[in-house]
Amino acid sequence: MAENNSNFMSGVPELLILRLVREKEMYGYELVQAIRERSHDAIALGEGVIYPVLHALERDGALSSSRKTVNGRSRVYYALTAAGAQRLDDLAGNWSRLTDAIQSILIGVQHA
Amino acid sequence: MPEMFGPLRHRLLTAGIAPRHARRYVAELRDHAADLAEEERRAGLAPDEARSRALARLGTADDLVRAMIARGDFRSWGARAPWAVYGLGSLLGLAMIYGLVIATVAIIVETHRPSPDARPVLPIWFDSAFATITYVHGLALPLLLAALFAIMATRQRMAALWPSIALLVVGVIGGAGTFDFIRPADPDGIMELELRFTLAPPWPGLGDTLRHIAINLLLTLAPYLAWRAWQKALAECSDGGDDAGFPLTQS
Repeated sequence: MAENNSNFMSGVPELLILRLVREKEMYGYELVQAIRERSHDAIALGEGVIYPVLHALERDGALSSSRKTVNGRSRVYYALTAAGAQRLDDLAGNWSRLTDAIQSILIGVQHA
Repeated sequence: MPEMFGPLRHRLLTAGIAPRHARRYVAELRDHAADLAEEERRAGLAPDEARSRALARLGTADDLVRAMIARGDFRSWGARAPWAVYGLGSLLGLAMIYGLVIATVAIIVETHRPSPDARPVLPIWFDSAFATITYVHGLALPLLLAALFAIMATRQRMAALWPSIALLVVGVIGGAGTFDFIRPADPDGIMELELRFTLAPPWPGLGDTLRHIAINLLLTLAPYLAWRAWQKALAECSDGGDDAGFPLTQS
């Protein structure tokens, strides 16, 4: 039985955030810029609306946060937790299955 | 720039977002806007233009508020279940006050038994201590409890209904209950701590009780409602009132 993907697209910001903070801890502005740069401007998250996603991930235990002062600027940095790493694996697996499924349909349509 | 985030915080609170979540969200948005403005300045924009551009990139106030509301679990319990926090909470708070008084008197009595099976021998300061306890119970604690609800409601930008009910309940019930400590004439008799509600038949000391309730309400509910009316008048005098929309940027 295929799982319900109805909430999958709304999970894309979570997936991208978890993937990026797996590499290093980041703050909100840094995350938005990183997503834009790495997607070559194809994905542009709302600058301000990223914070409710970050706060929800932290509440769920997927991220931890700490306020740090770097170069005279105080910022909240987010880091991946063990639970967050597991969630990232789950989301990434779902994403791969879904893109494979879509790709196979697209190829089938082209061959038809 | 920071002064522009005050109205956004107010809108978040009015929408039911818990104060700690609203405060943190706004603080991070403020940091983010500063980073964006710095980026725009580095790109060659004048400071004012960079600031406007930064706020435009941050998002409209509607979008920012909607993003937080969409995650319903950032709402305060006062917004989710005001009947529980302000209705049941006021009764629970009063019950805790009564429990505190009973526990305090019991501790004094029990710690003055010469031996575990002996009758308590109350200290000479017991009567003055009991008078202080009943004074604190009758006036100070209900006022503190009511102040707690009023402050909580103000921080959460609650509509007036449920906080008013809480203040009314605390003022009336808090003013109607009195404790008496009864020492038996018989040396072998039992000491009693009696809790009386003077708003029930046979209406003992009704005049004092009504005066007490009036004082409670005058010191809690009346200032709260007056403050609410003042805030409402201020909002109506300002640009379009609280809910007319916060132009972080124009949608």
